[in-house]
Amino acid sequence: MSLSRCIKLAGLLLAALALPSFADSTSADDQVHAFVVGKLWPGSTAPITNAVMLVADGQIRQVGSLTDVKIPDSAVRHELPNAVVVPGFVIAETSIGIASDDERTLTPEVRAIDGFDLFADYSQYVAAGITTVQISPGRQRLMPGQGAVVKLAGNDHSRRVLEKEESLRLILSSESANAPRIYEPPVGAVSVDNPLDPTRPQIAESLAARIAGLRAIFAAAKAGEVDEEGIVDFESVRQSLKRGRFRIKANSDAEVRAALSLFTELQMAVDRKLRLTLTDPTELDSFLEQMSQLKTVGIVLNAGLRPGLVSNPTIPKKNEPASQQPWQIAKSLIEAELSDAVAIRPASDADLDEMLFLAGLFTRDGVAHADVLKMLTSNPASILGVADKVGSLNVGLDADFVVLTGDPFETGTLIQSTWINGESVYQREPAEKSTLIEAATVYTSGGKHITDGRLLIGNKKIQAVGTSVSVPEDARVKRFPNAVIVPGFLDLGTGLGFGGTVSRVTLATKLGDRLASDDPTIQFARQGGITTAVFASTTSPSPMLAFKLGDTPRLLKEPVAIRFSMSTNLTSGVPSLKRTLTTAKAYSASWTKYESDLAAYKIKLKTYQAALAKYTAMKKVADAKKAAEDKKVAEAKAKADAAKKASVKKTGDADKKDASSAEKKADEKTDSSSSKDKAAEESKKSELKVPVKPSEPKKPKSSSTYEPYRALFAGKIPAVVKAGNVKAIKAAVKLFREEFQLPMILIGADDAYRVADLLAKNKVAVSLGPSLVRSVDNKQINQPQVMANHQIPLAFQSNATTGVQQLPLAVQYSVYRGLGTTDALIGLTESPSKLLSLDQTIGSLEAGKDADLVVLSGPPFEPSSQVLAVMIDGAWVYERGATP
Amino acid sequence: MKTKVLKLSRQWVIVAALLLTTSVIAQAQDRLAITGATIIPVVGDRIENGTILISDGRIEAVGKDISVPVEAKVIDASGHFVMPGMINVHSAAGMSQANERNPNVPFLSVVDSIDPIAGFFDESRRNGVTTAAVVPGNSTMIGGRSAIVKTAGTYVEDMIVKRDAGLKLSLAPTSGSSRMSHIAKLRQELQKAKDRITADQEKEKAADEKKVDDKEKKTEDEKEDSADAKSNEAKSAAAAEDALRRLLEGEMPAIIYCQTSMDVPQAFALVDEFQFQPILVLGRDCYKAAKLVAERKIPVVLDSNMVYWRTDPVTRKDEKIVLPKIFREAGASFVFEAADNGTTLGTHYFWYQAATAVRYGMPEADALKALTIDSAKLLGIDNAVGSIEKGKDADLVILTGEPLSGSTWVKTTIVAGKVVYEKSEDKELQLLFNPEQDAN
Amino acid sequence: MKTTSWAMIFIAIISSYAASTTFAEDQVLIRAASVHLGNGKTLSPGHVLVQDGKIIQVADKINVDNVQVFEVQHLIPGLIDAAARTGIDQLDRERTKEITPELSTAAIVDWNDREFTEYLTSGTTTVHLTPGTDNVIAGLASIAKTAGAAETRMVSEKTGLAISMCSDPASGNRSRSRPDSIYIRQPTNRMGVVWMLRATFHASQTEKNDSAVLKDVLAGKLPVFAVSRTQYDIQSLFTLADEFSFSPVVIGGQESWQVTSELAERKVPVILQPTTPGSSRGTERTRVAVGMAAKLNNAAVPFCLSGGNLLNQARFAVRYGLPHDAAIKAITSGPASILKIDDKVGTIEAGKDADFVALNGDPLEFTTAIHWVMVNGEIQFEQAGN
Repeated sequence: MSLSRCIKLAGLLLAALALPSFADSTSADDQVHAFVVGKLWPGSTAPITNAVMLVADGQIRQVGSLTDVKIPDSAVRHELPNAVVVPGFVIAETSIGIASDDERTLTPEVRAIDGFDLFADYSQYVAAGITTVQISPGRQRLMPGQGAVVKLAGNDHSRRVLEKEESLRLILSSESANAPRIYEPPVGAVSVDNPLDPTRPQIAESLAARIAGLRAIFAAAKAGEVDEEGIVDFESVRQSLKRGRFRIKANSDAEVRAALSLFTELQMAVDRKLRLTLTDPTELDSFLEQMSQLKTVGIVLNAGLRPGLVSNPTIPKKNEPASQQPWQIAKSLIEAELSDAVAIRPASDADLDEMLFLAGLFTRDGVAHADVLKMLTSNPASILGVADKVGSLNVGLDADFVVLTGDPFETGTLIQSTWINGESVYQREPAEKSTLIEAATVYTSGGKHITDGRLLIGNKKIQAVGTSVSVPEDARVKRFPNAVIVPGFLDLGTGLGFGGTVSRVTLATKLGDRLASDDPTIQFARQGGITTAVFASTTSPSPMLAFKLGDTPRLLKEPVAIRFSMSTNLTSGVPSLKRTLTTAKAYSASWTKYESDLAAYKIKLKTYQAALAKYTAMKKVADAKKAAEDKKVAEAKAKADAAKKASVKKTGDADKKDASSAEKKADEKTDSSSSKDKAAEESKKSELKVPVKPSEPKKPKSSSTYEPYRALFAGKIPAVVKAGNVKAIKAAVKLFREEFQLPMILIGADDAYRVADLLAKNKVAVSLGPSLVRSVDNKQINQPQVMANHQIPLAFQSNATTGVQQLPLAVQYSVYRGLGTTDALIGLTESPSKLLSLDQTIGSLEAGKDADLVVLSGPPFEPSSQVLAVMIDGAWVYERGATP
Repeated sequence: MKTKVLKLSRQWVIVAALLLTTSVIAQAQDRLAITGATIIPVVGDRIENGTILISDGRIEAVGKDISVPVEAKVIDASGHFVMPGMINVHSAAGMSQANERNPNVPFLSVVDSIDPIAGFFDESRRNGVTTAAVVPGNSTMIGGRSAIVKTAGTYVEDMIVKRDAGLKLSLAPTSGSSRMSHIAKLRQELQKAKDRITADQEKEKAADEKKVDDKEKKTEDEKEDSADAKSNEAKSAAAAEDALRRLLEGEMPAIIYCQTSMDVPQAFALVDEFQFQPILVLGRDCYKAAKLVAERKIPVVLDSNMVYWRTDPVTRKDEKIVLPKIFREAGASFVFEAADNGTTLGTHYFWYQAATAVRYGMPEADALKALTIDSAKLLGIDNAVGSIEKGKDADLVILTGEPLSGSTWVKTTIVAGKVVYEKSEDKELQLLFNPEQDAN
Repeated sequence: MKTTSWAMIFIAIISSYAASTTFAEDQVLIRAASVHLGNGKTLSPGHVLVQDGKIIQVADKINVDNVQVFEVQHLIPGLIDAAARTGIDQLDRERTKEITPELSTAAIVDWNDREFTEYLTSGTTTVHLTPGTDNVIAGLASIAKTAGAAETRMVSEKTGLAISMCSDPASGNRSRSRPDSIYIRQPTNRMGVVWMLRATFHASQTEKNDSAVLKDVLAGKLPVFAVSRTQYDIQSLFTLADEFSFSPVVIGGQESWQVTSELAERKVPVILQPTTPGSSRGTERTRVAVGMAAKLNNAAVPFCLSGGNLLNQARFAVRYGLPHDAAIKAITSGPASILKIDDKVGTIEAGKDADFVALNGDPLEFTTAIHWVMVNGEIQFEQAGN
């Protein structure tokens, strides 16, 4: 229940209550933003490498290569060294946000813009790099109305609507043939001033009929007729003739022919150039010439297939031109020098977020990538008549662009971010990014090191170590040229973890879940390179616990050791300690026994249950037998009775007596027989006897105080014994090693050097510190060195809080005084983690271990070396002068 | 059933009685003085223990030391608070049926269906609302003309403050038509009207240019006109034309109902295209357009459901929407709307709405302004009502305590210098407290 | 075991390191301009010391160093909603049986339901989850906290048996379209409801129905929460209660004001459900009196408010004549004692759960906003902009 968590929670809720925040607006003012990119495709011209694009007030001010564009000092720099920037994609036809088609076939007055919700969330398309789209009203009516051109994101709505009335849409393809034959106006309140509109037929039959209908309408509109019956609003038709932009959907050869002829007629009628956008043609070869003559035609090709889906195309009939694949059409158009007139749209709006893939298909048949990119950017822009605003990255145009991880249409190229009017409207957040660290030297384990080492860190662990490590595409790379990386240090005795001293800690105490978060002491302490600390209290016996020094300390093991101290008064101290240990041993023994018994009992129980099952089964059989016999007996009795009755009839009253006697006999007989049966049963029973249920072993009383000792006596955790002078040390060794054979770490042993042999002999580890070098009768004793020389496992401790930071310094001094660098390093890393049996997770830099490491400016324990950075559990907790 | 009938009739009696008494009082007094009250003029500072002098329906003087003429009837309001009567800027209550099924009825006027003794007006007086804009409903494309009335009066005519106070337009698509075709239809209608105006102007211009005006032509014209006027059909057509004409010529604002955020820019587009005065009535989901509203610097009417929860369709995140908070943070100014029918929350009380806004950070003074002078400005009647100032209508509310405190009640409501509500005489309220009395 | 050892440490700390920063982490001191204890009393100023999600000290002044301190204006106990449907609405509509005493709301709670957040943000920290009124005998009600880790939120799995002594279970049971419907649900009118209740209880008495729940009810071990709104439904409830000697609690009670004297002498608590302020009609066309709460209060009927937005309801209750302190009670200690959880929640006293609502003004003013809400010692909601 740490408060920080409360606050976080509150924060979360806060966030939940905050307004739906719009995309972060990078630049709305005249602040210049400089985008420095690896490669930039302006759209219509050739790509620029190492390019710079200057953006201000949402518009492009300058584009060019790093060499010829001068970046003003005031500019905000966006460094995208290995990114590729292309113009935001423009889709020349969609029906985003259009709910349903109108009943009527002819609604020229309808405008798609009126149905488009500028406040809705189009992030899925923006995330796919699409910045501008055309929106069409209706999908399946002859004249659904006016399309519009809009941007898909941005707070400034005035900038988002590029064209309110882009073009009048006509649909000649089969879709429009399915409109209701008869239009029935909704029956509202009917009154004198609001008469009931009559139902009327609609143009929805053959292609011919539809074309004829359209001809008539355009003629009437041109002749300035007014629509009396409210069939079609000629006024709007006139308006769109004035605007001179039409969009005709035509698939088949016939439809395309019809479309083109209708269009040419219109042109002649108004006698000036009109613009036509022909959408979704599946066959064009026979019209290439006509179109290149018309010049003012744009073609929007339907990508046809749906990514990841399989359809059943119709087999082309004989002597009918086979419908071509869109990329084939594209190719032939390019060959016909109509390459600037081609755009691509997906088969369904659902595929809008796969445009990059779909466009990639058009690179087949050897179409240049540049040309295909144009089909996504500048071409649609000019088809839609908005090329002066979007579609390419040229000076004066809107800063709508997409940042790619690689060249477009390459496999594996990802969209990193999308920008509209210089505002970042989409940023791909990295999935659990992994980090690659490079350094001159990496100390892996056992003091061994590799030069030019690389470490791959992923989800808090070391994924790989070595000179060549394969790197995932989106890994953060961190280089430390001529730096040295060593495993994170361990301090075997600190006061860290609880923001202060903790008193009266007994073995029953559970401290683990009370570690203080965001503790400034810890944040200071770890700057020395200590990544794991062991908390020790002063009481004896008391639990010690090991934890990581991250921002929220992570408990590794509790208890990680039990701490005893040999009191100065040995005569009384030792026996009392002995008592405790004896009881503790008994306690743990009782539990070990119980556990083994329990295991045994479990097995027994299984066998018993099996036996019981067997028994019950057999018993059933037996009972069945018995039942049968009983039946027999009953029958026998019945017979006897019958016989008796008969006899009674025969004999007269005179000899009723013997009759009765006979009766008796019969009775006896039955009795005896039944008794015999019983006997038999008994015997049977004796054969199958009830198996005895094994008794469950009694659970010993559990005691929180003695619980920790079980681990101790099981050898899972060591005893950390504080003993100062020789006598105390000897006593300790005698007690813990010889009598109880407990793994033991000696601490606070000022006189350890005097009894080094003894310690070595008894395999006692020693944790030294804080003072390592002592001067005894003006002779410098470098304790660590002495221990190392006796091959005694070594560890260090600071017994400090903020002072933990200086432990490596102390060791450095000892090294300066002659302790071997390797011994020192191991003493700070591997050996303590072994002693505390934490070496599965920490202590060395090997694949699979926790990512705890220290980056040093030079070789470890060199006076000149200092800590550059510290990582704990894969997170940088301290950095100084790190070069990214 | 029988008892019900009885009850109804009895209520009628009460209402009648109430009206009688008030009118009687009205006769009796010509000059009225309210003394000893804490006056909240809304514009300017509070006046402790002040006096308001009223003569023939208008405020004659406000201040601390004002000599009360002998003939004046004095209401001793010491210990009480006096604030301007509140203003209901948008309500479809108080008339028979709010929405016409025919989507295009600019020629209708609510005046024809306002019912002076509707419960709505009793309730208004009871809660200190002295002025109400009665507006056609939200589900008719061109719903007709609204009217602003005082909440007290026996006949519609003596209640009316402003006839044809605005033309109601609704951007919410009427059933059966898509948003696109709804907007298209609306635009067509407005365009027609616009064309008509320009045509007429050209006609006039032509007429003026004609040096020689030949009488026959004129008379003929007149004849035509009169002939038109004959047919009933033409009449309503003319009325409709007239309504739209007055809208486009800026004589009458458009009261535009926006259902969702996307309607707000739509409304502004219409405003820019056809150049008329807008009053925006926002549905509760319009909050996304708050910034837009702020840019336009026009006050809007917030939905009565000011606090609600929604789950974002994309992120599935639950969020609490607090309209006054959002609009204030966006820098948009607004006034309150009260629910037409009661909710368990109490959103049908204006004071509750204001209190809610204050709860979410609006300064109390601003909230009170929104209830009174801001609303008056929005309706363009701030010259007559909305604050306690010399010369304004004497529409006042005497409160037992601080205006937005839960335990405060309206003691007296005064419209045009006449006492139209006295809590002590409010039989209906007493009945609410002790329905037992209902039995006998 | 754990908690005891914590307590032990804590004592150790106090004894030796009064001023040490040790474990400052989990002690929280709340200093309020005034603390409404929930039992009618108010401390101003008042200090509340919290640890491990419990209140450990309440006084007008507490001096502890190195603890997290919250300064607030007004502090009231976390509100308790005695008849809520958060997280179970729509999940508990059992329309195939009328008598489902064994069904339990505790089993079906959707802890992520938005309604929990809505309740929390309006100050409610504890909710009594009562099953819907589709069934005559609807099932077991339970109590939960509105926030915290899901596994820790259930307070009581079984508070009592919920029945519907009203016409709800009868509504919509006439199969209008198809008389040959394979299943025509009973009852079809109010008599049917009473009859089913009587029949069921009788069956339980005569061992024909072996539902343990019903047994507990008849043995007086479980109270009966009856949704009854009209005065005649309440009367019928009394009759049944006398017949089968169970202890009833009225939920709804729109017309309870008409039978205050009887309720008072029978000591039957009433859990009022919201009605539209200033309206004379309630659910089931009941005739409601503005200020029912005040009437019940005057007649000394144990009652509380329920059904969401408790603060708002209390505020209107005050407007309609309920005294200030009584209103606070009616949403804190009142429901707590009706639900028999007043040993855990409902007032601000040492030993109770640390559930609070901090407000920036008088809790019962409509203009007052909630600053934050704490459940079991953790701030679970904080108002933006504060």
